[in-house]
Amino acid sequence: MVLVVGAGPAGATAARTLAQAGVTVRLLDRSNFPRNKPCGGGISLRILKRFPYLERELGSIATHSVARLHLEGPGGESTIVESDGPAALMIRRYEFDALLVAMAVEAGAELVSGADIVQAAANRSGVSLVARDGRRFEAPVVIAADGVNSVIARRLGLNRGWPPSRVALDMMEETPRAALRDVDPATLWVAYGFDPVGARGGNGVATNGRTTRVSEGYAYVFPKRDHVNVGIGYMLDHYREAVGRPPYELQRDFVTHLRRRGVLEGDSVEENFTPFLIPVGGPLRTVGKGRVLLAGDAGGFVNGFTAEGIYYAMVSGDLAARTIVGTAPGSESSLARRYQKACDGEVGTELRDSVLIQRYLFGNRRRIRRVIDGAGRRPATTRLVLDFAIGRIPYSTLRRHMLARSPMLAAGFVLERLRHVSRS
Amino acid sequence: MSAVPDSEIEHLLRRAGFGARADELALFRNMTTSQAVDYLVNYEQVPDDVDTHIGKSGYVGVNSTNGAFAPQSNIVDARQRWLFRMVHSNRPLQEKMTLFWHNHFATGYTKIAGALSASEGARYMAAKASGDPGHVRGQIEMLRDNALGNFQDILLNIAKDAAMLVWLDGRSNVKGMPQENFGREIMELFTMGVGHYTEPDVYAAARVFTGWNLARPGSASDGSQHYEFVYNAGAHDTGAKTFSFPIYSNGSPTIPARSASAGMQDGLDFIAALAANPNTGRYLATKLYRFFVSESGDVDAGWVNYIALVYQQTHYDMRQVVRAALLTPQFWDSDAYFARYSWPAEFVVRAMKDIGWNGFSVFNALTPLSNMGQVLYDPPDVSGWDLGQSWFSTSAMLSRMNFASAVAGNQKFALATAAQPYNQNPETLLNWVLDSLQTAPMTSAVTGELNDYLRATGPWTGSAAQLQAKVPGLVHLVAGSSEYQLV
Repeated sequence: MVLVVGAGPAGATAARTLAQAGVTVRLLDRSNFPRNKPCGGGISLRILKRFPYLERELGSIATHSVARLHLEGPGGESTIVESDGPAALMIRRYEFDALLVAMAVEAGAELVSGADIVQAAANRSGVSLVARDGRRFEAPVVIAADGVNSVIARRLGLNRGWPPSRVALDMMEETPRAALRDVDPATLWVAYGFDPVGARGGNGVATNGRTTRVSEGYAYVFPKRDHVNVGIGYMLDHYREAVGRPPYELQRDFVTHLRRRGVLEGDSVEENFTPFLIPVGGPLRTVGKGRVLLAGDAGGFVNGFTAEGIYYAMVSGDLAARTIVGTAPGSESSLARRYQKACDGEVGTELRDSVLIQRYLFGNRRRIRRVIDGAGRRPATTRLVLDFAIGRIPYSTLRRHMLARSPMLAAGFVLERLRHVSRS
Repeated sequence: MSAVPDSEIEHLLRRAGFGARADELALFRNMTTSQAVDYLVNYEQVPDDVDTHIGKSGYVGVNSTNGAFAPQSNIVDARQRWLFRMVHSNRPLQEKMTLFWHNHFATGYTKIAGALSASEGARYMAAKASGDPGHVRGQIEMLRDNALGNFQDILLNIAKDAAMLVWLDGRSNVKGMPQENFGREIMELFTMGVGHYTEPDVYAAARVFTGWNLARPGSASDGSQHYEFVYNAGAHDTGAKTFSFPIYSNGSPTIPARSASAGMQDGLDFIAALAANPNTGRYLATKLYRFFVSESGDVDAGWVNYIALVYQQTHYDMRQVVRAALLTPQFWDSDAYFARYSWPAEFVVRAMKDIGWNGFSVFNALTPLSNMGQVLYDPPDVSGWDLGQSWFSTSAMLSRMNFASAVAGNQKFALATAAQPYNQNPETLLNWVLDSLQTAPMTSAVTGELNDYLRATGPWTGSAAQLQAKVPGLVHLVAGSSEYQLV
């Protein structure tokens, strides 16, 4: 018997994989599905390569795919990156998460709703959990996919809390197109180094003349079939130190700014607005301990550069489940180590690199500009990035290409691994 | 490149030397570990003829910067001579300890050269007495001669060292106007460490060394004119000096008032007191732990106590101290393997020893060393270099990767030839390279990337052309990897 805590993409995927392998699995979540979840809602299309069974099922919910990306830098420079086919899949978490849960249940998992886990304890033989309403759950093995604020990770000492330099505060609304819509629903709109503090001064873009460090933020407009997601995010420490304005005030100004620029039409709707945290500092050093494996945001499985989490959540959930299935009874002590290794092997490098790319780009405004300029002038690189996004090439190919073109970034990658190696 | 690894001996030679040449491995492989330690420690039994090989074929090259190669008076050439020794010396521990002391008594060429002249700066840092018309022995040569000497002797030598007297302004330390630099650093950085002395101690220590100065005998016409230590009785403060710690074995903290002519004894007494102070043994032991055993985690307190005890019991005999350190179980614990961040000099020398040097010049390591943050004979300040992870910034790492690339590219044909017996498939080749360039354990993701590199451009044939195309790149990737930066 395995308990999976949290029925988001990581937990639901883990539960499905376990159930399909014939393992008895209970999937716990504090909410009743469908439920809403603040998120941009974009997934690179390679998810269909990794989870081919999704393709058929996605027909039952509203999806929308885009092939064009508008990328903008802190100086207002911008470029359009266009793919020859769909590159990103846009979904609403309200529907997508419910779909994944339904698939898990269909595979044989038992869904327990309204179970808000507040206590966790582990010993040699198993793990016991207590819900807010007093219900107790026990199992020899637990997958904790309980999100960025994971109670289990905290209770078991795997994460004492994210330092503010490793989480982004994302503030966004998901509003029906009737009230707010983007002018071009075939394009993802993304800005790096975006600074609405400067927006008060006029053009909405950081001027930041004295230092070359950019505002550690981003902004996006993601079109959905019947909705639009509009949001801004900052590294939490940057938000606290340099921004310090109430989230919704920033959001309203941002929407106004985009309307003036002709990117959006309509008005912001405050009820649809939610600020939330994304762990963008890379996976935790240890993503498992004893009989508990962390998946999804709980383990920090998010791309630090794109802030994309759904893909990595599903991969980590799937790997956690496969590790459990592949562990002979009695050898649970190797569980955490083998899970860690599996994660490291499939997504470790790209997630660690993504954090570096994030810091590298935020470190100097010229670098963002170079990337944006380069997108037009270096079609080979752009093609590789797109090929990677849709799953046509593995990350190692893209990485080799990037390293050959940016020795500084290459050195940064090696240096990061040095820290990793010398700590372990 | 040597293919048969011996993890214990290689660990010893990474720490007590700068890695291992093939001939060193062959020599040490036939010894037990304690025999190997004794061989390294008793280096006087090995001929000190390394300098006679400079410029000969079969050895790494040097470039003469201004006509003739002049390591006695040109700092660039002096740096090349030292690097040459690090690569080719058959007394690796002597060179390693010389580097340790250089960092411990960190003295910077730039200030000496500014005060005297460029050639004089090189002379007082690096000249060998046998080759100098005035028999000047540069500071690093003094440290080399005393690399495993008695610590009290080393201290006395450093107090009288011409470069040190310029570096810490001993020349202006006279009665009535004590110059405190040396008095402070001899307690804080050279012996007891911070927290074991007071500000009045600094003032008293400066007074102890008043009159320790430089004279300039010799003739300008034959080049023998030079600076050398002189005790200038007229500038000595003859009053008693009292410290917050004992100076004499009876516990007395006071150096008595003495006549000016007998006043040099003040300094000798003070140096003896510092060498004997229990904090000195502990301070040195802590530094030796980080230098020889591990930079990861806390310093092992039991280890420090033990080595400090050896230091006291052997009356500050560094040979016995270092021998004991290299024989501790902590040194041989597998957790200690690759638990240090290589200093730039360690990295470049080890890379040359591992990859090859025929047709390569140590001159090509000088600019990279500067970019990596370690200019020999010129540490940033008296506290030495920032060690451990501080060596590593993005640009320093880039410089290490570029140096790995330069050596591997230079050795392209030799590497391809040496790789021939291992050309069956990418795995055999990779195993050979990883056996030759020992690194901290690599994850399967990293070895997977190295494998990808070998397979990236087409089917594997193992032909000479393919080896020439692939082996140098692979060696570059391994020597430029983070795992190789640990020793």
